[in-house]
Order: sequence, then structure tokens, then C-alpha cells
Amino acid sequence: MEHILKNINKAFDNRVRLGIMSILSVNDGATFTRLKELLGVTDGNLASHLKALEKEQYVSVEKTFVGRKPQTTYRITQTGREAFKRHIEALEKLIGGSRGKE
Amino acid sequence: MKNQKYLDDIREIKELMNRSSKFLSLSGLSGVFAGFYALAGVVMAEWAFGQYHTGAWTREQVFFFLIFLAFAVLVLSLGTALWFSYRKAQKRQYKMWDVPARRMVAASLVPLLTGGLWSLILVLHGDYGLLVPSMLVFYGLSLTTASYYTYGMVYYLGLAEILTGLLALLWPGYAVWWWALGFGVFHILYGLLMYVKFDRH
Repeated sequence: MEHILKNINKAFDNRVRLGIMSILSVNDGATFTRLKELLGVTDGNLASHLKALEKEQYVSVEKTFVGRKPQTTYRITQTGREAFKRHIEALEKLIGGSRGKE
Repeated sequence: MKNQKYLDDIREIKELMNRSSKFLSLSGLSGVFAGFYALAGVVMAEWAFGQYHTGAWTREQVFFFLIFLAFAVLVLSLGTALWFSYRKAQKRQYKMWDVPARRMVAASLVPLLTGGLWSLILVLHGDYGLLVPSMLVFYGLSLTTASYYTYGMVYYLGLAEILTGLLALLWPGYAVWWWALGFGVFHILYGLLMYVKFDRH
């Protein structure tokens, strides 16, 4: 039990951060606006959680311009991908389910 | 309870993975309607052939009627699909034309447009015998590519269409029936399955 709990990542112990990682793990990047739409949170809330994940180096940020509008795109890093995978595996072990097929 | 929280987390993760990468506004009813339009088209085409055999219509008249019919079926099917998708998206409060929707359209457009041009060239050459098998095969290919960005079941509909197209190529004498099977019957079956599995609450 203890070694499973060790894999439960504190950085993901929050709905918004968990959501961000879920989206980024199956998409080749997502813009700030798109994340906001999918998660239904405020700008400030999303920004603070993204900052936290960025600090852990789980997501990378890329700023570009579309015409004159600045656009921020977030991507999951290799470190983030591995950490998220361990977190999901730990969750699945904790609820006692076998690893889901999907 | 702690366990419930973990369970909710897993559910949330799966839901967001799906919703952010797949076009889920596709409705099963679109398939059912498209199938009925296709079958109605077959009935009307058969009627037109009858008119030709009795000498009431010329070959050209039948030809233009069939072209018109094909476009009518296409426009009606697409229109219905868009309408049902729009309604489903609204009901669930998603945006219909989101990133996965665009990816799905972009992915299916290559085989679909290739098939469209291919069929047009067949018509220009007067090579009507290959028309039905070509349409079925290219349509099936576009469904299999589209399926990566929507419900996985679309993949099997694509395979069924490709198989029907190949059979139509093998036994070319029954083109109308292969067409009815591929675009009519399979759409209805798939649509009903989808509707029962995902849409009905």
C-alpha cells in the first residue's frame, strides 16, 4: 500500500491540474483558450495551475503570434508524461481495478 | 470515502481524454436518416431505369436524373448529419466545430476528395461499371481515417463499406444492390447501434 501511495502525485491532487494533464496527454498541444473551454474554469484559475505544472516541468509553454494575437500553446513534457502515467497506474491499483483496456 | 475520490479522478481523466481528442457530437440518427435517403434514392433510380426501358425517357434524361439524385442524397445526408450534431452538441453544451471535429474532417477529406475526383473521371470516360465499387471503397477508406477522431465504431462501418465495394467489383452485375447494401442498410444498422449505445439516455 505504501509504495502505491508514493506514486500518487501531489501535483495532480487537484481537478484542474488532473484535467490539464489528461487533455495534454492525448493531444499534440492545446492553447490556453482551448484548455479553458474544455475545463470550464476562469483565466486566473487556469493560469495558476498551469504555472504550477510548468514549475514541475510537466508542461512546456510556447508563445506564438496568430496575426497580431498572441497565442500560448501548452504541451506535455516527457517528464510529465511519465509522472502522469505513474499517477494513473497508482489510482487504478488503489481502486482495485485491473488496468482498463481503454 | 477516499476510494470514491480515486474512482471519480479516473472517470474524469477518461472523459477529458475522449472529449478533447474525439468528435463526440456525431449522432447515430444521422446514419439512420442517411441510410433511408440512400434507399429512397435506389427506389427512384430503379423507377428511372423503368422509364428508360419503356422508352418514356432518353438515355440522357436518365443520366441527368441520376446525377441530380446522387447530389440530393448527398446534400440531404450531410445536412441531416450537421443538424443532429449541432443539436447533440447544444444539449451537452459542447462546441460542435471544435478541434477534433476539424481534425476528423481534415483526415477524411483526402480519401473522400480523391474518391470524388476518381468517380468524376470514371463518368467522363463513361466507365459506369466501376462507379459503384469506387464510391464504396473510397467512402469506406475515408470512414476508417475519420474514425481515429470520433467513435471507434465508425472504423467498422468503414471496413464494411470497403468490403461491399470489393464484392461489388467482383460481381459487377448487381451494382444497385451493392449500393443499397453499403449506403442504405449498413448506415441504418450502424446508426441504430450507435443510437442505442451512446445517444439514448
